[in-house]
Amino acid sequence: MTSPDPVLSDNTPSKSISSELMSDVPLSDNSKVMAPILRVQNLKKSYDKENVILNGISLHIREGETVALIGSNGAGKSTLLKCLVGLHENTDGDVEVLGTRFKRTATRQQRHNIRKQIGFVFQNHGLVKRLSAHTNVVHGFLGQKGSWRAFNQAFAPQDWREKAMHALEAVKLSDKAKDRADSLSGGQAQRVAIARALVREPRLLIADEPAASLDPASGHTVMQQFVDLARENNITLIFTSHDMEHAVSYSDRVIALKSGKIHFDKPSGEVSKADLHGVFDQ
Amino acid sequence: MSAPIASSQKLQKAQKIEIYSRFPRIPALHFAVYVGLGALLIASIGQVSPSPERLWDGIPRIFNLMDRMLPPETDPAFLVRMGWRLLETLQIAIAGTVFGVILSLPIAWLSARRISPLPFGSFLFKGLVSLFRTIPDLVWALIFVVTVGLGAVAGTMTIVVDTIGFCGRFFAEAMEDSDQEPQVALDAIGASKFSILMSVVLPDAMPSLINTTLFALEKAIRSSVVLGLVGAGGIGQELKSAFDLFQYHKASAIILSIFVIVLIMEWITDRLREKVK
Ligand SMILES: Nc1ncnc2c1ncn2[C@@H]1O[C@H](COP(=O)(O)OP(=O)(O)OP(=O)(O)O)[C@@H](O)[C@H]1O
Ligand SMILES: [Mg+2]
Repeated sequence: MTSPDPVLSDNTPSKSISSELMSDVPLSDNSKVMAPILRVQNLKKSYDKENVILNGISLHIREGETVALIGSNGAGKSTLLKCLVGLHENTDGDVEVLGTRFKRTATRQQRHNIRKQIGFVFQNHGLVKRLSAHTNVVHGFLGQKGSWRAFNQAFAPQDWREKAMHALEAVKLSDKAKDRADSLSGGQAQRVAIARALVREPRLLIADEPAASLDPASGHTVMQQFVDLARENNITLIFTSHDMEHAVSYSDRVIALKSGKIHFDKPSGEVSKADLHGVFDQ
Repeated sequence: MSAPIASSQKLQKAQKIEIYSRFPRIPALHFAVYVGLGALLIASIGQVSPSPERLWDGIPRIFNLMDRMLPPETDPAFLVRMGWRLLETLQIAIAGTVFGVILSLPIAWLSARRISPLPFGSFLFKGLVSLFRTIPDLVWALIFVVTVGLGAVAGTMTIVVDTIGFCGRFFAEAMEDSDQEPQVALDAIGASKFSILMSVVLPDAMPSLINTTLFALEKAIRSSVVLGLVGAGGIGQELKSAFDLFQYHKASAIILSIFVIVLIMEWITDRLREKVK
Protein backbone atom coordinates (compact mmCIF):
# COMPACT_ATOMS: atom_id res chain seq x y z
CA MET A 1 0.00 0.00 0.00
CA THR A 2 1.34 3.36 -0.98
CA SER A 3 0.31 6.09 1.32
CA PRO A 4 -1.08 9.11 -0.52
CA ASP A 5 1.20 12.07 -0.67
CA PRO A 6 -0.63 15.04 0.76
CA VAL A 7 -0.45 18.02 -1.52
CA LEU A 8 -0.06 21.14 0.48
CA SER A 9 0.61 24.24 -1.52
CA ASP A 10 1.45 27.31 0.48
CA ASN A 11 -0.91 29.62 -1.36
CA THR A 12 -4.01 27.58 -0.64
CA PRO A 13 -7.00 29.50 -1.94
CA SER A 14 -9.16 30.16 1.07
CA LYS A 15 -6.68 30.40 3.93
CA SER A 16 -7.67 34.00 4.36
CA ILE A 17 -11.35 33.14 4.48
CA SER A 18 -10.84 30.49 7.09
CA SER A 19 -8.64 32.64 9.31
CA GLU A 20 -11.14 35.44 8.96
CA LEU A 21 -13.86 33.12 10.09
CA MET A 22 -11.83 31.73 12.92
CA SER A 23 -11.57 35.17 14.41
CA ASP A 24 -15.29 35.34 15.00
CA VAL A 25 -15.72 31.70 15.96
CA PRO A 26 -13.72 31.29 19.12
CA LEU A 27 -11.80 28.07 19.09
CA SER A 28 -10.64 28.29 22.66
CA ASP A 29 -12.51 26.21 25.15
CA ASN A 30 -15.31 28.60 25.97
CA SER A 31 -17.66 26.42 23.98
CA LYS A 32 -20.01 25.93 26.92
CA VAL A 33 -21.36 29.36 26.14
CA MET A 34 -22.54 28.32 22.69
CA ALA A 35 -24.88 25.39 22.32
CA PRO A 36 -22.99 22.65 20.56
CA ILE A 37 -24.49 21.62 17.28
CA LEU A 38 -22.90 18.25 17.71
CA ARG A 39 -21.46 16.57 20.74
CA VAL A 40 -20.18 13.02 20.72
CA GLN A 41 -18.97 11.25 23.81
CA ASN A 42 -17.02 8.01 23.66
CA LEU A 43 -18.77 6.71 20.55
CA LYS A 44 -18.07 3.09 19.70
CA LYS A 45 -19.21 1.24 16.66
CA SER A 46 -18.60 -2.20 15.25
CA TYR A 47 -20.58 -3.94 12.54
CA ASP A 48 -19.62 -7.41 13.74
CA LYS A 49 -17.93 -9.01 16.74
CA GLU A 50 -14.36 -8.97 15.42
CA ASN A 51 -13.78 -5.53 13.94
CA VAL A 52 -14.16 -2.41 15.99
CA ILE A 53 -14.50 0.45 13.53
CA LEU A 54 -14.86 3.36 15.95
CA ASN A 55 -13.33 2.89 19.33
CA GLY A 56 -14.19 5.80 21.59
CA ILE A 57 -14.67 8.96 19.57
CA SER A 58 -15.40 12.20 21.37
CA LEU A 59 -15.97 15.48 19.60
CA HIS A 60 -17.55 18.80 19.96
CA ILE A 61 -18.59 20.83 16.97
CA ARG A 62 -19.85 24.36 17.30
CA GLU A 63 -22.37 26.21 15.19
CA GLY A 64 -20.92 27.61 11.98
CA GLU A 65 -17.74 25.56 11.95
CA THR A 66 -16.50 23.89 8.80
CA VAL A 67 -14.85 20.62 9.70
CA ALA A 68 -12.89 18.27 7.48
CA LEU A 69 -12.78 14.63 8.44
CA ILE A 70 -9.84 12.68 7.07
CA GLY A 71 -8.45 9.17 7.38
CA SER A 72 -7.36 6.26 5.23
CA ASN A 73 -9.78 3.96 3.39
CA GLY A 74 -11.78 2.02 5.92
CA ALA A 75 -10.85 4.31 8.79
CA GLY A 76 -14.53 4.77 9.54
CA LYS A 77 -15.27 8.24 8.24
CA SER A 78 -18.49 7.28 6.50
CA THR A 79 -19.45 5.14 9.46
CA LEU A 80 -18.99 8.07 11.84
CA LEU A 81 -21.11 10.38 9.68
CA LYS A 82 -23.90 7.83 9.55
CA CYS A 83 -23.74 7.17 13.28
CA LEU A 84 -24.19 10.88 13.92
CA VAL A 85 -27.59 11.01 12.27
CA GLY A 86 -28.85 7.67 13.50
CA LEU A 87 -28.49 5.86 10.19
CA HIS A 88 -26.70 3.12 12.13
CA GLU A 89 -27.14 1.58 15.52
CA ASN A 90 -24.20 2.62 17.66
CA THR A 91 -22.46 0.07 19.82
CA ASP A 92 -21.87 2.44 22.69
CA GLY A 93 -21.60 6.12 23.48
CA ASP A 94 -23.63 9.22 23.65
CA VAL A 95 -24.55 11.49 20.74
CA GLU A 96 -26.22 14.86 20.83
CA VAL A 97 -27.12 16.43 17.50
CA LEU A 98 -29.08 19.66 17.13
CA GLY A 99 -30.60 19.29 20.56
CA THR A 100 -31.55 15.64 20.19
CA ARG A 101 -29.67 13.31 22.44
CA PHE A 102 -29.55 9.55 22.04
CA LYS A 103 -27.37 6.75 23.30
CA ARG A 104 -27.24 3.64 21.17
CA THR A 105 -30.18 3.93 18.86
CA ALA A 106 -32.22 6.96 18.11
CA THR A 107 -35.94 6.42 18.36
CA ARG A 108 -38.03 6.97 15.27
CA GLN A 109 -39.05 10.37 16.56
CA GLN A 110 -35.47 11.35 17.39
CA ARG A 111 -34.23 10.26 13.99
CA HIS A 112 -36.95 12.34 12.44
CA ASN A 113 -36.04 15.37 14.55
CA ILE A 114 -32.42 15.10 13.52
CA ARG A 115 -32.92 14.33 9.85
CA LYS A 116 -35.35 17.13 9.22
CA GLN A 117 -32.69 19.65 10.23
CA ILE A 118 -29.77 18.25 8.30
CA GLY A 119 -28.60 18.02 4.72
CA PHE A 120 -26.57 15.11 3.43
CA VAL A 121 -24.42 15.06 0.30
CA PHE A 122 -22.98 11.78 -0.94
CA GLN A 123 -20.01 11.01 -3.11
CA ASN A 124 -22.05 10.03 -6.17
CA HIS A 125 -24.59 12.85 -5.97
CA GLY A 126 -27.53 10.42 -5.65
CA LEU A 127 -29.80 12.34 -7.98
CA VAL A 128 -32.79 10.72 -9.64
CA LYS A 129 -31.48 10.41 -13.18
CA ARG A 130 -34.72 10.59 -15.11
CA LEU A 131 -35.96 13.72 -13.34
CA SER A 132 -35.03 17.33 -13.99
CA ALA A 133 -32.40 19.20 -12.00
CA HIS A 134 -35.19 21.40 -10.62
CA THR A 135 -37.26 18.46 -9.39
CA ASN A 136 -34.17 16.95 -7.81
CA VAL A 137 -33.63 20.16 -5.87
CA VAL A 138 -37.29 20.26 -4.85
CA HIS A 139 -36.72 16.79 -3.37
CA GLY A 140 -34.64 18.58 -0.75
CA PHE A 141 -37.90 19.57 0.96
CA LEU A 142 -38.80 15.95 1.63
CA GLY A 143 -38.66 14.85 5.22
CA GLN A 144 -40.31 17.99 6.50
CA LYS A 145 -43.89 18.18 7.60
CA GLY A 146 -46.42 17.83 4.82
CA SER A 147 -43.70 17.47 2.26
CA TRP A 148 -45.15 14.69 0.16
CA ARG A 149 -45.91 17.14 -2.64
CA ALA A 150 -42.19 17.63 -3.15
CA PHE A 151 -41.93 14.45 -5.23
CA ASN A 152 -42.02 16.56 -8.39
CA GLN A 153 -41.69 20.29 -9.02
CA ALA A 154 -44.97 20.23 -10.95
CA PHE A 155 -46.90 19.36 -7.80
CA ALA A 156 -44.86 21.34 -5.26
CA PRO A 157 -46.05 24.60 -3.69
CA GLN A 158 -44.97 27.68 -5.60
CA ASP A 159 -42.60 29.01 -2.94
CA TRP A 160 -40.75 25.68 -2.83
CA ARG A 161 -40.35 25.85 -6.58
CA GLU A 162 -38.97 29.35 -6.20
CA LYS A 163 -36.61 28.44 -3.39
CA ALA A 164 -35.34 25.52 -5.44
CA MET A 165 -34.66 27.87 -8.34
CA HIS A 166 -32.74 30.16 -6.00
CA ALA A 167 -30.68 27.22 -4.77
CA LEU A 168 -29.88 26.28 -8.37
CA GLU A 169 -28.96 29.89 -8.99
CA ALA A 170 -26.63 29.78 -6.00
CA VAL A 171 -24.70 26.89 -7.56
CA LYS A 172 -24.86 28.70 -10.93
CA LEU A 173 -27.02 26.12 -12.63
CA SER A 174 -30.35 27.86 -13.05
CA ASP A 175 -30.03 27.54 -16.82
CA LYS A 176 -30.02 23.75 -16.42
CA ALA A 177 -33.19 23.64 -14.32
CA LYS A 178 -35.24 21.74 -16.87
CA ASP A 179 -32.47 19.39 -17.97
CA ARG A 180 -32.62 15.79 -16.89
CA ALA A 181 -30.10 14.88 -14.20
CA ASP A 182 -28.50 12.21 -16.38
CA SER A 183 -27.61 14.85 -18.96
CA LEU A 184 -25.44 16.79 -16.48
CA SER A 185 -21.70 16.39 -16.03
CA GLY A 186 -20.37 14.93 -12.78
CA GLY A 187 -19.49 18.33 -11.40
CA GLN A 188 -22.84 19.84 -12.36
CA ALA A 189 -24.69 16.88 -10.84
CA GLN A 190 -22.74 17.28 -7.62
CA ARG A 191 -23.66 20.97 -7.53
CA VAL A 192 -27.33 20.05 -7.98
CA ALA A 193 -26.93 17.67 -5.04
CA ILE A 194 -25.51 20.55 -3.02
CA ALA A 195 -28.46 22.72 -4.01
CA ARG A 196 -30.77 19.91 -2.91
CA ALA A 197 -29.06 19.89 0.49
CA LEU A 198 -29.09 23.69 0.83
CA VAL A 199 -32.71 24.22 -0.10
CA ARG A 200 -33.70 22.62 3.20
CA GLU A 201 -31.94 25.43 5.02
CA PRO A 202 -30.28 22.83 7.22
CA ARG A 203 -28.42 23.77 10.35
CA LEU A 204 -25.97 20.96 9.82
CA LEU A 205 -24.70 19.80 6.47
CA ILE A 206 -22.87 16.51 6.18
CA ALA A 207 -20.97 15.65 3.03
CA ASP A 208 -19.24 12.35 2.42
CA GLU A 209 -16.50 12.90 -0.16
CA PRO A 210 -18.48 15.52 -2.08
CA ALA A 211 -15.70 16.08 -4.61
CA ALA A 212 -14.22 12.61 -4.90
CA SER A 213 -15.44 11.75 -8.38
CA LEU A 214 -14.64 15.14 -9.86
CA ASP A 215 -11.66 16.37 -11.84
CA PRO A 216 -9.38 18.85 -10.01
CA ALA A 217 -10.95 21.96 -11.54
CA SER A 218 -14.58 20.95 -10.90
CA GLY A 219 -13.51 19.63 -7.50
CA HIS A 220 -12.31 23.09 -6.54
CA THR A 221 -15.40 24.78 -7.96
CA VAL A 222 -17.69 22.45 -6.07
CA MET A 223 -15.80 22.74 -2.78
CA GLN A 224 -15.50 26.51 -3.05
CA GLN A 225 -19.22 26.97 -3.74
CA PHE A 226 -19.99 24.50 -1.03
CA VAL A 227 -18.05 26.17 1.76
CA ASP A 228 -18.99 29.67 0.64
CA LEU A 229 -22.69 28.84 0.68
CA ALA A 230 -22.40 27.09 4.01
CA ARG A 231 -20.66 30.12 5.52
CA GLU A 232 -23.05 32.66 4.02
CA ASN A 233 -25.97 30.77 5.49
CA ASN A 234 -24.25 30.02 8.78
CA ILE A 235 -24.53 26.29 8.21
CA THR A 236 -22.26 23.97 10.13
CA LEU A 237 -20.46 21.78 7.63
CA ILE A 238 -18.74 18.44 8.11
CA PHE A 239 -17.13 16.92 5.06
CA THR A 240 -14.79 14.04 4.41
CA SER A 241 -12.11 14.10 1.77
CA HIS A 242 -9.14 12.15 0.52
CA ASP A 243 -7.76 15.31 -1.02
CA MET A 244 -5.55 16.84 1.67
CA GLU A 245 -5.47 20.16 -0.09
CA HIS A 246 -9.28 20.31 0.04
CA ALA A 247 -9.34 19.11 3.61
CA VAL A 248 -6.95 21.77 4.83
CA SER A 249 -7.84 24.72 2.66
CA TYR A 250 -11.63 24.55 2.75
CA SER A 251 -12.06 23.88 6.46
CA ASP A 252 -11.58 25.68 9.76
CA ARG A 253 -10.67 22.51 11.51
CA VAL A 254 -9.37 19.09 10.56
CA ILE A 255 -10.20 15.90 12.42
CA ALA A 256 -8.17 12.83 11.54
CA LEU A 257 -9.35 9.30 12.25
CA LYS A 258 -6.94 6.44 12.65
CA SER A 259 -7.42 2.97 14.13
CA GLY A 260 -10.84 3.83 15.45
CA LYS A 261 -9.62 6.86 17.39
CA ILE A 262 -9.18 10.53 16.78
CA HIS A 263 -5.58 10.89 15.67
CA PHE A 264 -5.60 14.66 15.79
CA ASP A 265 -8.13 17.45 15.89
CA LYS A 266 -6.66 20.85 15.02
CA PRO A 267 -7.43 24.18 13.43
CA SER A 268 -6.62 23.87 9.73
CA GLY A 269 -3.92 26.51 9.95
CA GLU A 270 -1.92 24.42 12.38
CA VAL A 271 -1.98 21.17 10.42
CA SER A 272 1.51 20.31 9.21
CA LYS A 273 2.70 17.97 6.48
CA ALA A 274 4.03 15.64 9.13
CA ASP A 275 0.60 15.49 10.78
CA LEU A 276 -0.95 14.43 7.50
CA HIS A 277 1.71 11.82 6.82
CA GLY A 278 1.10 10.47 10.29
CA VAL A 279 -2.57 9.83 9.47
CA PHE A 280 -1.77 7.50 6.60
CA ASP A 281 1.26 5.72 8.11
CA GLN A 282 0.67 2.14 9.06
CA MET B 1 11.42 -9.65 -35.98
CA SER B 2 12.78 -12.57 -34.01
CA ALA B 3 12.55 -10.90 -30.68
CA PRO B 4 8.84 -11.40 -30.08
CA ILE B 5 9.03 -15.07 -31.03
CA ALA B 6 11.91 -15.62 -28.68
CA SER B 7 10.14 -13.92 -25.84
CA SER B 8 6.95 -15.85 -26.46
CA GLN B 9 8.88 -19.11 -26.32
CA LYS B 10 10.41 -17.93 -23.12
CA LEU B 11 6.92 -17.20 -21.83
CA GLN B 12 5.77 -20.72 -22.64
CA LYS B 13 8.75 -22.32 -20.97
CA ALA B 14 8.81 -20.09 -17.97
CA GLN B 15 5.22 -20.76 -17.05
CA LYS B 16 4.54 -24.39 -16.44
CA ILE B 17 0.92 -24.15 -15.55
CA GLU B 18 -1.43 -26.87 -14.55
CA ILE B 19 -4.52 -26.36 -16.64
CA TYR B 20 -7.96 -27.40 -15.49
CA SER B 21 -10.17 -29.67 -17.58
CA ARG B 22 -12.36 -28.16 -20.32
CA PHE B 23 -15.61 -29.18 -18.73
CA PRO B 24 -16.48 -29.06 -15.07
CA ARG B 25 -16.68 -32.51 -13.54
CA ILE B 26 -20.21 -33.56 -12.79
CA PRO B 27 -20.91 -35.23 -9.45
CA ALA B 28 -22.46 -38.70 -9.75
CA LEU B 29 -25.72 -37.56 -8.20
CA HIS B 30 -26.15 -34.74 -10.72
CA PHE B 31 -25.39 -37.17 -13.52
CA ALA B 32 -28.10 -39.51 -12.27
CA VAL B 33 -30.57 -36.62 -12.14
CA TYR B 34 -29.75 -35.61 -15.72
CA VAL B 35 -30.21 -39.20 -16.94
CA GLY B 36 -33.52 -39.42 -15.10
CA LEU B 37 -34.74 -36.14 -16.63
CA GLY B 38 -33.70 -37.36 -20.09
CA ALA B 39 -35.61 -40.59 -19.64
CA LEU B 40 -38.68 -38.70 -18.46
CA LEU B 41 -38.55 -36.44 -21.53
CA ILE B 42 -38.30 -39.36 -23.94
CA ALA B 43 -41.09 -41.24 -22.19
CA SER B 44 -43.40 -38.20 -22.28
CA ILE B 45 -42.77 -37.58 -25.95
CA GLY B 46 -43.66 -41.22 -26.62
CA GLN B 47 -46.90 -40.94 -24.69
CA VAL B 48 -48.48 -37.68 -25.73
CA SER B 49 -46.99 -36.61 -29.03
CA PRO B 50 -48.81 -37.68 -32.17
CA SER B 51 -47.67 -40.84 -33.84
CA PRO B 52 -46.69 -40.60 -37.55
CA GLU B 53 -49.78 -42.60 -38.54
CA ARG B 54 -52.10 -40.23 -36.76
CA LEU B 55 -50.41 -37.23 -38.34
CA TRP B 56 -50.72 -38.91 -41.72
CA ASP B 57 -54.42 -39.58 -41.19
CA GLY B 58 -54.91 -36.00 -39.99
CA ILE B 59 -53.63 -34.37 -43.16
CA PRO B 60 -56.67 -35.04 -45.34
CA ARG B 61 -58.93 -33.95 -42.48
CA ILE B 62 -57.11 -30.62 -42.26
CA PHE B 63 -57.72 -30.06 -45.95
CA ASN B 64 -61.29 -31.14 -45.51
CA LEU B 65 -61.79 -28.66 -42.68
CA MET B 66 -60.13 -25.86 -44.65
CA ASP B 67 -62.39 -26.68 -47.54
CA ARG B 68 -65.42 -26.31 -45.33
CA MET B 69 -64.09 -23.08 -43.78
CA LEU B 70 -63.39 -21.26 -47.02
CA PRO B 71 -64.50 -18.81 -48.05
CA PRO B 72 -65.04 -16.97 -44.75
CA GLU B 73 -68.56 -15.75 -44.08
CA THR B 74 -69.12 -12.22 -45.44
CA ASP B 75 -72.79 -11.64 -44.60
CA PRO B 76 -72.86 -7.95 -43.48
CA ALA B 77 -75.27 -8.56 -40.60
CA PHE B 78 -72.98 -11.26 -39.27
CA LEU B 79 -69.88 -9.10 -39.71
CA VAL B 80 -71.49 -6.20 -37.85
CA ARG B 81 -72.41 -8.47 -34.97
CA MET B 82 -68.87 -9.83 -34.88
CA GLY B 83 -67.56 -6.26 -34.92
CA TRP B 84 -69.49 -5.55 -31.73
CA ARG B 85 -68.24 -8.77 -30.18
CA LEU B 86 -64.66 -7.87 -31.06
CA LEU B 87 -65.16 -4.47 -29.51
CA GLU B 88 -66.43 -6.15 -26.37
CA THR B 89 -63.33 -8.35 -26.36
CA LEU B 90 -61.08 -5.30 -26.58
CA GLN B 91 -63.07 -3.60 -23.84
CA ILE B 92 -62.59 -6.61 -21.59
CA ALA B 93 -58.87 -6.59 -22.31
CA ILE B 94 -58.35 -2.86 -21.88
CA ALA B 95 -60.59 -2.37 -18.84
CA GLY B 96 -59.11 -5.47 -17.20
CA THR B 97 -55.56 -4.31 -17.85
CA VAL B 98 -56.20 -0.78 -16.60
CA PHE B 99 -57.78 -1.96 -13.35
CA GLY B 100 -55.17 -4.69 -13.01
CA VAL B 101 -52.30 -2.24 -13.41
CA ILE B 102 -53.86 0.23 -10.97
CA LEU B 103 -54.18 -2.53 -8.37
CA SER B 104 -50.73 -3.96 -9.17
CA LEU B 105 -48.92 -0.75 -8.27
CA PRO B 106 -49.71 -0.72 -4.54
CA ILE B 107 -49.40 -4.49 -4.33
CA ALA B 108 -45.96 -4.36 -5.97
CA TRP B 109 -44.91 -1.55 -3.63
CA LEU B 110 -46.00 -3.50 -0.57
CA SER B 111 -44.22 -6.61 -1.76
CA ALA B 112 -40.94 -5.11 -3.01
CA ARG B 113 -37.97 -5.85 -0.80
CA ARG B 114 -36.36 -2.80 0.91
CA ILE B 115 -38.96 -0.49 -0.61
CA SER B 116 -42.05 -1.84 1.06
CA PRO B 117 -43.18 0.13 4.11
CA LEU B 118 -44.02 -3.20 5.77
CA PRO B 119 -40.94 -4.54 7.53
CA PHE B 120 -41.90 -8.21 7.39
CA GLY B 121 -45.23 -8.33 5.61
CA SER B 122 -43.93 -8.14 2.07
CA PHE B 123 -43.90 -11.91 1.58
CA LEU B 124 -47.64 -11.93 2.17
CA PHE B 125 -48.24 -9.82 -0.92
CA LYS B 126 -45.64 -11.74 -2.88
CA GLY B 127 -47.59 -14.89 -2.04
CA LEU B 128 -50.86 -13.32 -3.15
CA VAL B 129 -49.34 -12.33 -6.49
CA SER B 130 -47.93 -15.84 -6.95
CA LEU B 131 -51.35 -17.33 -6.26
CA PHE B 132 -52.92 -15.05 -8.89
CA ARG B 133 -50.22 -16.00 -11.37
CA THR B 134 -50.04 -19.75 -10.85
CA ILE B 135 -53.75 -20.39 -11.35
CA PRO B 136 -54.33 -20.26 -15.15
CA ASP B 137 -56.63 -17.64 -16.62
CA LEU B 138 -59.19 -20.16 -17.87
CA VAL B 139 -59.56 -21.50 -14.35
CA TRP B 140 -60.12 -17.96 -13.03
CA ALA B 141 -62.66 -17.46 -15.82
CA LEU B 142 -64.55 -20.58 -14.73
CA ILE B 143 -64.50 -19.38 -11.13
CA PHE B 144 -65.86 -15.94 -12.07
CA VAL B 145 -68.48 -17.36 -14.44
CA VAL B 146 -69.77 -19.37 -11.52
CA THR B 147 -69.62 -16.48 -9.04
CA VAL B 148 -70.70 -13.43 -11.10
CA GLY B 149 -72.44 -15.21 -13.97
CA LEU B 150 -71.89 -15.60 -17.70
CA GLY B 151 -70.70 -12.61 -19.69
CA ALA B 152 -68.18 -9.84 -20.04
CA VAL B 153 -67.95 -8.99 -16.30
CA ALA B 154 -66.51 -12.41 -15.57
CA GLY B 155 -64.04 -11.88 -18.41
CA THR B 156 -62.94 -8.48 -17.11
CA MET B 157 -62.44 -9.82 -13.60
CA THR B 158 -60.34 -12.64 -14.99
CA ILE B 159 -58.11 -10.20 -16.85
CA VAL B 160 -57.78 -8.06 -13.71
CA VAL B 161 -56.59 -11.03 -11.66
CA ASP B 162 -54.33 -12.26 -14.44
CA THR B 163 -52.80 -8.80 -14.85
CA ILE B 164 -52.11 -8.53 -11.12
CA GLY B 165 -50.35 -11.88 -11.25
CA PHE B 166 -48.17 -10.67 -14.09
CA CYS B 167 -47.64 -6.97 -13.31
CA GLY B 168 -47.51 -7.45 -9.54
CA ARG B 169 -44.41 -9.54 -9.96
CA PHE B 170 -42.62 -7.54 -12.65
CA PHE B 171 -43.51 -4.16 -11.13
CA ALA B 172 -42.02 -5.32 -7.82
CA GLU B 173 -38.86 -6.44 -9.57
CA ALA B 174 -38.55 -3.14 -11.42
CA MET B 175 -38.98 -1.29 -8.12
CA GLU B 176 -36.34 -3.41 -6.41
CA ASP B 177 -33.96 -2.69 -9.28
CA SER B 178 -34.44 1.07 -9.09
CA ASP B 179 -31.44 3.25 -8.30
CA GLN B 180 -30.32 2.82 -4.66
CA GLU B 181 -28.23 5.96 -4.23
CA PRO B 182 -31.02 8.53 -4.42
CA GLN B 183 -33.08 6.36 -2.09
CA VAL B 184 -30.31 6.40 0.51
CA ALA B 185 -29.84 10.13 -0.02
CA LEU B 186 -33.50 10.90 0.61
CA ASP B 187 -33.77 8.43 3.48
CA ALA B 188 -30.88 10.26 5.15
CA ILE B 189 -32.90 13.48 5.21
CA GLY B 190 -35.95 11.76 6.64
CA ALA B 191 -38.12 11.19 3.57
CA SER B 192 -40.89 8.67 4.17
CA LYS B 193 -41.15 5.38 2.30
CA PHE B 194 -44.09 6.80 0.39
CA SER B 195 -42.11 9.90 -0.57
CA ILE B 196 -39.23 7.73 -1.73
CA LEU B 197 -41.65 5.69 -3.82
CA MET B 198 -43.05 8.80 -5.45
CA SER B 199 -39.81 10.70 -5.95
CA VAL B 200 -37.29 7.98 -6.77
CA VAL B 201 -38.73 4.53 -7.30
CA LEU B 202 -41.58 5.34 -9.68
CA PRO B 203 -39.72 7.82 -11.89
CA ASP B 204 -36.71 5.55 -12.06
CA ALA B 205 -38.69 2.41 -12.84
CA MET B 206 -41.11 4.14 -15.21
CA PRO B 207 -39.78 2.80 -18.55
CA SER B 208 -39.87 -0.71 -17.16
CA LEU B 209 -43.37 -0.23 -15.71
CA ILE B 210 -44.69 1.02 -19.04
CA ASN B 211 -43.10 -1.86 -20.92
CA THR B 212 -44.59 -4.38 -18.56
CA THR B 213 -47.99 -2.73 -18.89
CA LEU B 214 -47.84 -2.96 -22.68
CA PHE B 215 -46.92 -6.64 -22.48
CA ALA B 216 -49.78 -7.16 -20.05
CA LEU B 217 -52.14 -5.53 -22.54
CA GLU B 218 -51.00 -7.82 -25.36
CA LYS B 219 -51.36 -10.80 -23.09
CA ALA B 220 -54.82 -9.63 -22.02
CA ILE B 221 -56.00 -9.29 -25.61
CA ARG B 222 -54.91 -12.82 -26.39
CA SER B 223 -56.52 -14.27 -23.30
CA SER B 224 -59.73 -12.24 -23.65
CA VAL B 225 -60.22 -14.01 -26.97
CA VAL B 226 -60.21 -17.45 -25.41
CA LEU B 227 -62.15 -16.49 -22.28
CA GLY B 228 -65.38 -16.68 -24.30
CA LEU B 229 -64.81 -20.40 -24.71
CA VAL B 230 -65.86 -20.85 -21.09
CA GLY B 231 -68.62 -18.26 -21.32
CA ALA B 232 -66.79 -15.19 -20.04
CA GLY B 233 -67.86 -12.86 -22.85
CA GLY B 234 -66.29 -11.57 -26.01
CA ILE B 235 -65.59 -12.99 -29.42
CA GLY B 236 -64.54 -16.39 -28.05
CA GLN B 237 -68.17 -17.16 -27.28
CA GLU B 238 -69.10 -16.71 -30.96
CA LEU B 239 -66.15 -18.83 -32.03
CA LYS B 240 -67.21 -21.65 -29.77
CA SER B 241 -70.82 -21.63 -30.97
CA ALA B 242 -69.69 -21.48 -34.60
CA PHE B 243 -67.64 -24.63 -34.05
CA ASP B 244 -70.39 -26.28 -32.02
CA LEU B 245 -72.92 -25.66 -34.81
CA PHE B 246 -70.46 -26.72 -37.57
CA GLN B 247 -70.64 -23.19 -39.09
CA TYR B 248 -67.08 -23.33 -40.31
CA HIS B 249 -67.36 -20.35 -42.69
CA LYS B 250 -68.28 -18.21 -39.73
CA ALA B 251 -65.52 -19.70 -37.63
CA SER B 252 -62.88 -18.82 -40.22
CA ALA B 253 -64.17 -15.26 -40.45
CA ILE B 254 -63.89 -14.94 -36.68
CA ILE B 255 -60.38 -16.43 -36.60
CA LEU B 256 -59.26 -14.03 -39.34
CA SER B 257 -60.65 -11.02 -37.52
CA ILE B 258 -58.97 -12.10 -34.27
CA PHE B 259 -55.71 -12.44 -36.15
CA VAL B 260 -56.05 -8.95 -37.59
CA ILE B 261 -56.98 -7.34 -34.29
CA VAL B 262 -54.10 -8.98 -32.41
CA LEU B 263 -51.67 -7.86 -35.11
CA ILE B 264 -52.96 -4.30 -34.96
CA MET B 265 -52.68 -4.18 -31.17
CA GLU B 266 -49.14 -5.55 -31.25
CA TRP B 267 -48.22 -2.98 -33.85
CA ILE B 268 -49.61 -0.22 -31.62
CA THR B 269 -47.85 -1.46 -28.48
CA ASP B 270 -44.58 -1.77 -30.39
CA ARG B 271 -44.86 1.86 -31.48
CA LEU B 272 -45.62 2.92 -27.91
CA ARG B 273 -42.68 0.93 -26.59
CA GLU B 274 -40.33 2.75 -28.94
CA LYS B 275 -41.48 6.03 -27.45
CA VAL B 276 -40.46 5.12 -23.89
CA LYS B 277 -36.90 5.72 -22.86
N1 LIG C 1 -22.68 -1.76 6.46
C1 LIG C 1 -21.51 -2.30 6.84
N2 LIG C 1 -21.47 -3.56 7.32
C2 LIG C 1 -20.30 -4.11 7.72
N3 LIG C 1 -19.12 -3.49 7.68
C3 LIG C 1 -19.09 -2.23 7.21
C4 LIG C 1 -20.28 -1.58 6.76
N4 LIG C 1 -19.95 -0.34 6.35
C5 LIG C 1 -18.63 -0.23 6.53
N5 LIG C 1 -18.10 -1.34 7.05
C6 LIG C 1 -16.70 -1.56 7.41
O1 LIG C 1 -16.33 -0.55 8.28
C7 LIG C 1 -15.04 -0.07 8.01
C8 LIG C 1 -15.07 1.42 7.86
O2 LIG C 1 -15.81 1.74 6.70
P1 LIG C 1 -16.10 3.23 6.29
O3 LIG C 1 -16.90 3.17 5.05
O4 LIG C 1 -16.70 3.94 7.44
O5 LIG C 1 -14.67 3.79 6.00
P2 LIG C 1 -14.26 5.17 5.33
O6 LIG C 1 -13.32 5.83 6.25
O7 LIG C 1 -15.46 5.93 4.93
O8 LIG C 1 -13.48 4.65 4.08
P3 LIG C 1 -13.38 5.30 2.62
O9 LIG C 1 -12.33 6.32 2.69
O10 LIG C 1 -12.94 4.15 1.76
O11 LIG C 1 -14.70 5.82 2.26
C9 LIG C 1 -14.57 -0.82 6.77
O12 LIG C 1 -13.68 -1.83 7.20
C10 LIG C 1 -15.80 -1.43 6.21
O13 LIG C 1 -15.51 -2.68 5.65
MG1 LIG D 1 -16.36 6.43 3.07
